[in-house]
Amino acid sequence: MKKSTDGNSIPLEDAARLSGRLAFNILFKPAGSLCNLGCDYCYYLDKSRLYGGREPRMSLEVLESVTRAYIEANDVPEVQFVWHGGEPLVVGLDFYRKAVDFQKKYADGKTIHNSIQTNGTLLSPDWAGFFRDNGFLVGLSLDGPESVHDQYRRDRGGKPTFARVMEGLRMLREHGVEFNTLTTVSKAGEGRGAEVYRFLKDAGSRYMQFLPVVEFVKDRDGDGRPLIADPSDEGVRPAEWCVSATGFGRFMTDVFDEWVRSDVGEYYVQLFDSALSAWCGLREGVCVFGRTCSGNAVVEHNGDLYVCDHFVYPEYRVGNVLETPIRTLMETEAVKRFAYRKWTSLPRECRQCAWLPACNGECPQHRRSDDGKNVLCEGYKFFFSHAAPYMDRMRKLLSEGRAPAEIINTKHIAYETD
Amino acid sequence: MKPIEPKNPSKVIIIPHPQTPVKKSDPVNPEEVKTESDQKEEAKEEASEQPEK
Repeated sequence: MKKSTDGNSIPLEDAARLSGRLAFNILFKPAGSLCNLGCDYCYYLDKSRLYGGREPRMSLEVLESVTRAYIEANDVPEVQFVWHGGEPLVVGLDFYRKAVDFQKKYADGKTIHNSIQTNGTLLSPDWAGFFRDNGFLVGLSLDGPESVHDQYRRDRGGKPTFARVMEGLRMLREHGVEFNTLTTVSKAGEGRGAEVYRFLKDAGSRYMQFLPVVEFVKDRDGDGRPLIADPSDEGVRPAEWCVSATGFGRFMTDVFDEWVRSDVGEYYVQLFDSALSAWCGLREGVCVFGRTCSGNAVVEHNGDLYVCDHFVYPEYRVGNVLETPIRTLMETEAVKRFAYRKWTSLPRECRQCAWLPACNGECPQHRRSDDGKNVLCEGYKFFFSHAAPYMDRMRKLLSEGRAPAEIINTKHIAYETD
Repeated sequence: MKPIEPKNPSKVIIIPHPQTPVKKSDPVNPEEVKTESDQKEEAKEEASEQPEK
């Protein structure tokens, strides 16, 4: 690869190669932003404005068309369908029965995987049985114990949801459904990382994803929840439910300390997996830590394709999959520009940062500081600094063909200097 | 030691979005793990590739 000469950019052809792909993920939004809950911090609820406030629902004609096109467009033997929302269960079970039928019809020898992200409140034994029988991986949105979860995760009537989610979780476990948990880290979770982690373990989650809540808002006309601001909006302010940089760093550090002491190899935390990959010189485990934005597009209920779930705004709409082949859309200049702008827009300070390979400026959606840096920067620095000696040790174990879990019960780890 | 930038970014691989439900990452192949000496070697290599000022 050619070297950048100014340190701030990479040649276009290299950037295109970095972002080039023969495979990609699509998050399908069968109900658009429609949801039975009204969580304060939801970044997707306001998307109904893009479609005139109508109740969106993917028709079976669109479903069949996008299923065929998506499978055809991926040049890989395994294709992943991710069902997302809003709340994807509001379209009903028959929709997914048809989805599975269409997948079988158009699989053409490829293996199809399904995962679905749900708030868990609409789960029933029928849903759980369907997910088990069809091998769906269910991502359950659960923010922690009741007092943390119910702070912002409420239904449209303002009622708490914790008890309903736990009932949904009970059904998943009872039916033997594979699941993991997605936990947003908001202001409500600050200072409670270890408690939240222990709670999730007790709830039966072995695979955990933690997502920092960082949103910027602007006031809407009249009363009500402020609007989530577009990237181009001016005069915006951080939402009151945002986690602070240090709050997020400390939260993840507290989780890490619990995990590294006794749970390595038994419980999996996406951030820790991704960090260890970076320490080993391997690819990131999640797109936000990559050098460029990788292929994770969104298809809305009507077939509109957007570059990323975090960038469903009019200026990031690439086209419609009913009008243009998905692969053509995914290879447009707009998508490539979006992909490599993550790298080319990275501030100089980030490029000189010791933690760059593990962080790469994280998600562009969070780069809202005046200096262009990620608003969570200090939190990530805190976390990576803390985790570094442990990551060093686990890398050493791996390079010797040993399991990282051997780090458990290590009484003291001295920092290994270069 | 610090994290290392991967050297083969064009490999065809789907990196999940943070809101995509996933289970644990693929197991790490010990043969792909970069050691301290690998890193030093690469640093030397990179230094030699730098254009002269």
